[in-house]
Amino acid sequence: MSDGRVLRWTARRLPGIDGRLRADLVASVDQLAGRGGRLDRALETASLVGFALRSASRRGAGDDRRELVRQGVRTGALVLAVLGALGAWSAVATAATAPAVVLAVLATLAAAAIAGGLGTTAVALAALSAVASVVTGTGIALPLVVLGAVALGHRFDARTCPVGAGLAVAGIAAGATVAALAPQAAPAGLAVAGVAVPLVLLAVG
Amino acid sequence: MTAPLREPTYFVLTALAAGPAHGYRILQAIDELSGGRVRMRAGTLYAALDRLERDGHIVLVGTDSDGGPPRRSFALTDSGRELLQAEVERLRANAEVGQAMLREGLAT
Repeated sequence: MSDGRVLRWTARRLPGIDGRLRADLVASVDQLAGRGGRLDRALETASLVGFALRSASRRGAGDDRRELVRQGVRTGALVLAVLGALGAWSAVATAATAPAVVLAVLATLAAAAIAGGLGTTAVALAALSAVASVVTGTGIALPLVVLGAVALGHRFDARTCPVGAGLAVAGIAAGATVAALAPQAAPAGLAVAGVAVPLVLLAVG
Repeated sequence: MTAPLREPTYFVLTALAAGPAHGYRILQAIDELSGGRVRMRAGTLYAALDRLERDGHIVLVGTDSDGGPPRRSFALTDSGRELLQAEVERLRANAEVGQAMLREGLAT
């Protein structure tokens, strides 16, 4: 898919963009899609995703910088929770013990709760993940950071920001695939969360 | 006294100083005005346009077909023109100070 279809589709369908700007944005992107190479189009697509995320965040936070930061903290919690879930599933792929499976399920539910904007549920699940990490001996630092970030951050709502939720789901799916294909490579499962989305954008932009 | 503008914001305002333009034309103008040094992505441009419009520095104006389907253009408001003017004066003052110090250095 190298003719800019993804870039055009992103401009037309990406949620979170002000309707008054959409028509001109779509027209500009149609012109941009015809020039440059695949990398260029991927970068344009990534910039649109960033614009949609900022717009969605600003809709909830207005122009209050402190609120934007607190939403950013919650977004960071989501990224870390996804990383934690990937690491947990990689551990399950390596040795499927009951505690490891429980930890992986809890970590995944915690990530889903954060993406869904369910603050209290997310805090509870992150706390349970931290306890499960102690039981499995897999390290408590990451679950504790997630717990703190969820508690301190402000609502990052998938209903108002489906782009963020979509990125989280894509990251989890990509990481789970790597974990399933290479169960011995837990670090790869973690690393893919950080690079999966940019790679997908590069591949299809 | 306003904070210095970020370079992309400065070039967006500069691109609109000559008259209203739609997004793609603004991107082309920025490329030309900066001698290819500043290359804005669509997401960056529309984020800047969104912010400038909310702050009252630009407005969406009538349609501009440009040979294609009709589309909205953006135009500077008086506030936007004042903001750009203030930034131009700040840059000019900085450049003059730098130039004077360079001359002083050569003279000694």
